[in-house]
Amino acid sequence: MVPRWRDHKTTLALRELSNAKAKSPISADDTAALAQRASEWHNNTTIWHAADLLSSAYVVGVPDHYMDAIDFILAHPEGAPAPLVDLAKKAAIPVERELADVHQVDEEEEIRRRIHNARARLRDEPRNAILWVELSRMYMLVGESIRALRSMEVAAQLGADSRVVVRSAARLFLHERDSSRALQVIRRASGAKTDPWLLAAEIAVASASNSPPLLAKAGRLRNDDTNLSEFERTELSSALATLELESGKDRKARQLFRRSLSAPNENSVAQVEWANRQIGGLEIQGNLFHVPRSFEASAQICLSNGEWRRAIEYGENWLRDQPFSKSPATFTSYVSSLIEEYKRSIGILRTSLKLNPGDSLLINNLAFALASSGDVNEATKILRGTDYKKSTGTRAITLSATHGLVFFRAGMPELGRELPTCNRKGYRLR
Amino acid sequence: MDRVVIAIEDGSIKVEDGVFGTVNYLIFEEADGDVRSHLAIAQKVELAWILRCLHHLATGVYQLHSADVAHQDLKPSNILVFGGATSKVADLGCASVKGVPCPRDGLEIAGDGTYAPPELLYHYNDPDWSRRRQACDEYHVGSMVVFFFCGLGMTAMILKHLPPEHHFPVWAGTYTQVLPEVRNAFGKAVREFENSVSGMQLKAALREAVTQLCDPDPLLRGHPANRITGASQYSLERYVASFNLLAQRAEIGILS
Repeated sequence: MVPRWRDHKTTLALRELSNAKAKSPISADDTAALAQRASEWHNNTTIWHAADLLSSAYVVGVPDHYMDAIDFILAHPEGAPAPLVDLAKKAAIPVERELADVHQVDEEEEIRRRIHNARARLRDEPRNAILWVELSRMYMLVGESIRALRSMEVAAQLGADSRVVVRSAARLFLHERDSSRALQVIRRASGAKTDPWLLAAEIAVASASNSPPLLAKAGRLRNDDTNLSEFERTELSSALATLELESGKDRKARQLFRRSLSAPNENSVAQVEWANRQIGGLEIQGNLFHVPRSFEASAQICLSNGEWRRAIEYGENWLRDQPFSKSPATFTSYVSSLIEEYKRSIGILRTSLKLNPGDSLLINNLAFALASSGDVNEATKILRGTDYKKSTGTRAITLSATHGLVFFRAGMPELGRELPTCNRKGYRLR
Repeated sequence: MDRVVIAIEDGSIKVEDGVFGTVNYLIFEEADGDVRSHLAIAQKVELAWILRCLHHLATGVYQLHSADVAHQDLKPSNILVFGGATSKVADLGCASVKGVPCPRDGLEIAGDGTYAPPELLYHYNDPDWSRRRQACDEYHVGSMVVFFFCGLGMTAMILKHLPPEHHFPVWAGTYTQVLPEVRNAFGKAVREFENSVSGMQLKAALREAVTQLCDPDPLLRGHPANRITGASQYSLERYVASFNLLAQRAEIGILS
């Protein structure tokens, strides 16, 4: 349930940045001001009087009340400044915001061009925290994590109370294995105890880093607040549910997960899908279709149903949506390897390793795919230097199994069979 | 106060109609109209005229601030033109005087809310008189620069680029929580303003002025050199000089 980190435009389109209240009515003073301006406009039918009226009406959200002024501006564009005409067009025919489809991650050259443009903009707008976050994300996409971290630190200083900055920063710091910094940036935000999205982030990041969440109690209180919309509480419910699940309270967990599905987002759907695999009793398939970007959950369900190709398709979309996250890369490469489409698997893993250098699971999976496709030399190179002693648990077993495969493919079956012994001796591929 | 419209006479008169009784009056010097009328009437509004108007506007506000008066309601209809060439700041009905209780001091927004700086619209009210009132005037001066070239005040320009969920009527959070979004929109608004100005020299000068005068954070508003020299942060003196220089260059035809 850790926060997703997407570009700002997509995050807006997914409605994750609203903090809505009932719209305030126009004050009596503003109503009087507009009436005065409208009267002046009717007595002086000029572009500048129309401009003054439209400017004021737009600020208080009622430009459509003055369509005659808008029509006048649009009928006389040659006498009106371009921004005014543009606003008149926007007010005349409001355009609904659309969520763009996921697309292939841009080539490195294009991302670097955008980095260059962002840096140029930041020379004029050095305090623009949103832009620093976007720059950080672009640096991550080209594997420059140090620059990404530096940019994000600037953003976190400038926008310490902004939901999008705090969640993005927490996501990056967690990715870079600095969970204490991730938690610090959330807990210091002024909305940490009231914003359901920040509460969810704190609980999730604490859980992911095996730390006790400090805001769980505040989160439970907030989750019970009837003023919160179902969408606003979706990640919070899901995060609290995960806490209950981790404490063995399955029934309570299911209740909270079901609540999170009232108006889910992609993150909460993915979490419920995962929880269903752990404790069962959580039907979500019918919930998926209207949830934008629910690639992770769809991919996992397809895998469970043995629909390999669809799983890969969703996995690739998941990867486009979360390009520097390891999970979609390991998932999609794994399923590709299952059906022996090693070329795809290798391509995905190589790209992901650029963004997550040294990750043992990615290295392991890449070596496996290479060895399985017959490229033993390359597999050996990839595995060179990996040391079982540095791994524990299932990761050690996985690495050792892959080493074994490589030995077999390299024509050294005896070593492959002796791998458990080699493991104890700390044998390393050279 | 030669750039402020001040009353030339005041008094009271008894009206023998049995309805009004005694009526108080103020008589002001007669203006041609406000800047909207001048912009509309002129066959071609010269850049030199606009810059001179901005110079006069900045001077008028500077004169008021020097007397510890904040106007708080600067907008196109409150900038009057005299003899086609001179502009003055008018209508002190919403003004505030430092240290003196004034009728509209208790209101969240003393002047016209549709031209108010963003921090007031988001209910961020600084108790410090200068940071609240003079910073508001500073913003209004910058907003007028934008109006002359874009036909819109700066607040309308910011809201144009701000996602609807962050607009002040529907925002439930605090100003500091939404400020990064407002600043991002402000950056886009300034770029759009810059594209509406011709000439590299003028573009750079006005861009700098608008960026400083209209900063969404009132704590950062104003000329940065003021903080170094120890002058009042919201002093408009440097902008008076800057607009004067630009106007002179435009008047003699050497502004690029």
